[in-house]
Amino acid sequence: MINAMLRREWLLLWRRPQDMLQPITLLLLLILVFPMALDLTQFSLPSLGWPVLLNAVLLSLLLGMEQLFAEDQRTGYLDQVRMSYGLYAYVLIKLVCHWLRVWLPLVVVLPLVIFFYQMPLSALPVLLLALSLASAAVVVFAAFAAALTLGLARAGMLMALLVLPLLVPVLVFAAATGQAVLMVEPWQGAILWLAAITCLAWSLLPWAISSVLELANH
Amino acid sequence: MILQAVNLALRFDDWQLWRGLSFTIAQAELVHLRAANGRGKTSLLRGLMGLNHWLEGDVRWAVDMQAEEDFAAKVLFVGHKTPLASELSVLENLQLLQGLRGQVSSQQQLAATLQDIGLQGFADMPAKWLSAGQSRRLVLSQCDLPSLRFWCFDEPFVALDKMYVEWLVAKIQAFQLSGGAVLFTSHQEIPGLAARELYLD
Repeated sequence: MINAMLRREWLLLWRRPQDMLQPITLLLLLILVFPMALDLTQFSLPSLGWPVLLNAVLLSLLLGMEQLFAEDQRTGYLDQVRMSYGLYAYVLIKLVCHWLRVWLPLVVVLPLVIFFYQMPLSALPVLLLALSLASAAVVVFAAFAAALTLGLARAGMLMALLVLPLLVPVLVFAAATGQAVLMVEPWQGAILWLAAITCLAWSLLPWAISSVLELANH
Repeated sequence: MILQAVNLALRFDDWQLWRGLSFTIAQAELVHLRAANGRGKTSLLRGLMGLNHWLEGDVRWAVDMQAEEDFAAKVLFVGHKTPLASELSVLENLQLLQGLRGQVSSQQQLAATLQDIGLQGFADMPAKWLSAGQSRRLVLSQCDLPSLRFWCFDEPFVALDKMYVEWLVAKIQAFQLSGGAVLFTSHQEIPGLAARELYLD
C-alpha cells in the first residue's frame, strides 16, 4: 500500500511540470527585479543576495501551496487513503515529494543567484545546506496551513497570514547563517538552530497535518 | 454476518436526520438503501466506512474484518467521487487503486480488467480524458479483487450506459453467489436485482 502511494506521488511529481516551474519562475523574477529598485552606490550587491533569495523563497513556495491536498480531497482519494493505510504515511510521502518539487529547481537557481549578486562561490555548499533546511521547514509549515484552510475559497491569503509569522525563526537563522558565511565567520551555530527547527517541524507537524485532514473530512 | 448497525443517530448541524437506526447485513445479502434526497444516505454509507462520526450508536463488523489491513482488503467503497489522478494514465490509476488495497496484479490481469470494462486501447491515455461513465467503470473495476467480501456503492449506476448497468448487475449477482454482501443506493429501479430494501425515514 505504501508502494502504491509512493509511486503515485512520484509519478505526479514529473507529470505536473507546471507545479515545479511556476514557483521558481516567480522566484527568479523577484531576484532579478529587486536590485533594479536599489541605489547601488549605497548598497553592496553581495550582501543583498542571500536575504533577497530567502524572502523570495518564502513567498514563492507559498504560491499554489493551498492546492496541495485540495485535489485529493475533491476526487475522494483522501477517503480511500483513510480507509486503507491511514493519513500519516500519505502526508509524509506527499511532503517529501513536494519538497523535492521545490528543492530541485532551487539547486539550479542558487548558483545563478551567487553569480548575479557577485557573491563568493566558496559560500555555495553552506548556502545550499541552509537553503535545503529552510525550504524543508517552509514546506512543512505551509502544508500545515494548507490542511487547516482546506475547503475554504481563496485560501491563499489566509495561508500566508497563518504561515509567515511561524516562519520568522527559520528566516532569522537562515539569514544569520548566510551572513556569517559571507563575512567568513563561524556559521555552525546558526545553521544548527535552523536544523533543529526543521527537524522539530518535520517530526511533529506531519502528525498534526494528518489529524487536521481527518477532521476536515468528517 | 458482515456488519451490524446498532441504534445509529446522525445529526447534520442542528438538524436531526434520524436516530435509532438498527440493521444487520448478512453474507450473500443485497441491500438497497432508499430515501429521499438529503435524508443522509451518503452520510450513512460514509459513516459505515469510518469516514464520519456518529452522534450515537455503533457499527460492529465481522470479527475477521476489524483489523485495518483486513478492512482495506475486504471492503470496497465507491462513492460519488472518482478517486483518479487526472495526469496519470488509465493503467497507472488502475494499478494505484488496486495497490491501495494491497493487491498487485500481473500485466495480463490488468489487461483483462481493462478489456472487461471496455477500456482496452486506452491504457496509456491520461485519466482526465475519460468520460464520467468511463471513469466510474475504471473505479468499479476494483470489484473483481478476490479478497473483497463487502461492497458499499453510493449511486453506482449513475453515468453508466445501458450495457454497463447490465454489466454491473451481473457483477453484483456473481458476487452475491460467491457469498459477498452489497449495500447500495439508487433512485432507479434496477431490473434483475432482488434486493432487500432499507428505508431511511
